[in-house]
Amino acid sequence: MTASTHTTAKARSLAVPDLSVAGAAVWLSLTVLLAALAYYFLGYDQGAVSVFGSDTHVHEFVHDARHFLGFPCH
Amino acid sequence: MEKKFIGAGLLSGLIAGIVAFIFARLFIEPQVAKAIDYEGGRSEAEEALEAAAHGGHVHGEGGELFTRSIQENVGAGIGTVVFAVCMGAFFAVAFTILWAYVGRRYPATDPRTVAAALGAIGFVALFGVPFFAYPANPPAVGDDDTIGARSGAFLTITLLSVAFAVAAVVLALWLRPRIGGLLSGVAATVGYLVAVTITVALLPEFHEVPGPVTDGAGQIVFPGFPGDVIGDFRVYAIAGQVILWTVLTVVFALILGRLSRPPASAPAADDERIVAGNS
Ligand SMILES: [Zn+2]
Repeated sequence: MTASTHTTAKARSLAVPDLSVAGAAVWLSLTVLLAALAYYFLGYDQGAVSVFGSDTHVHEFVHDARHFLGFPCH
Repeated sequence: MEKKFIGAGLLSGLIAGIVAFIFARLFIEPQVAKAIDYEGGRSEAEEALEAAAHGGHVHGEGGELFTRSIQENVGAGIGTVVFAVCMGAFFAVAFTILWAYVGRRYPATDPRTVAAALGAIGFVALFGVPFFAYPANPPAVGDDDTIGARSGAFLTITLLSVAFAVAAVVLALWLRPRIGGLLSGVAATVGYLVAVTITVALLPEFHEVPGPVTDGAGQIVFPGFPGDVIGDFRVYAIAGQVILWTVLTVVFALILGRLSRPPASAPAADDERIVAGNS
């Protein structure tokens, strides 16, 4: 998140990427992606649509939690 | 630093999920059980009517994949904890980005204040607004044929509510140096409320509380869904989310407090300190 504190005497031909920023971006994106995936499977999959065909095991297993948490159900 | 924030979010979510599940198991589950009892009695009454009308046709529902005991204890527990951990993950990412800006721009800000504000925003945007658009229902309240439309509308209002909340925070931070903290906060809040109100007005409505079952002569053979079960269920659903978001925010703020304190043995120049705003 911080700007690079290194200053070089001569201009480089190729810009040096700031890996601490890139690393943070990767970690944050990955976290959002995985959490969004889990949230989708918990609340939406196998209600209207199902990624793994017309199987309802995940839906049935977490069925009560879906109601507790306010997701649409039967 | 962002890894520490993500870890803090996941841990806060885990603890919040466990506490919220204990509450749900004690207060929400009995309402679910009443709703399922009603559903069973209702389908029996309907089958008896149909059998009388069509000469003994009874449509059997397939066996349950999981027993009620598994669903209300293991499944509900894992589901609630997974949900809370997801919220903790989103919380951590939002906090990291928000703190990267606020911490640098306003170094005097206590990060725990930012976490508290984020907890309130998360509760309203991810639970409050979707709930007031489409209130939570116990089993048996809701037409099987509209599950697709209801899921789509619920996902739409949830995603738009979060997007509007992000826009409102950006707007508030942009306005703050110009018109001050209080006014910018009010302007952003009003803007958010107007946007979600218009969205909810445009989305479809669903009114699917089962009415009484009547026979051919219009005689009531089975009552409509009990209103007190719906009322209690919704009140407890709100309470459960208040508990979840409160525990999540408080635990996250406590961890921030620990991260902020420089270790006793550490040298003075500790650039990993959260107060420096580095990540
Ligand atoms: Zn259900």
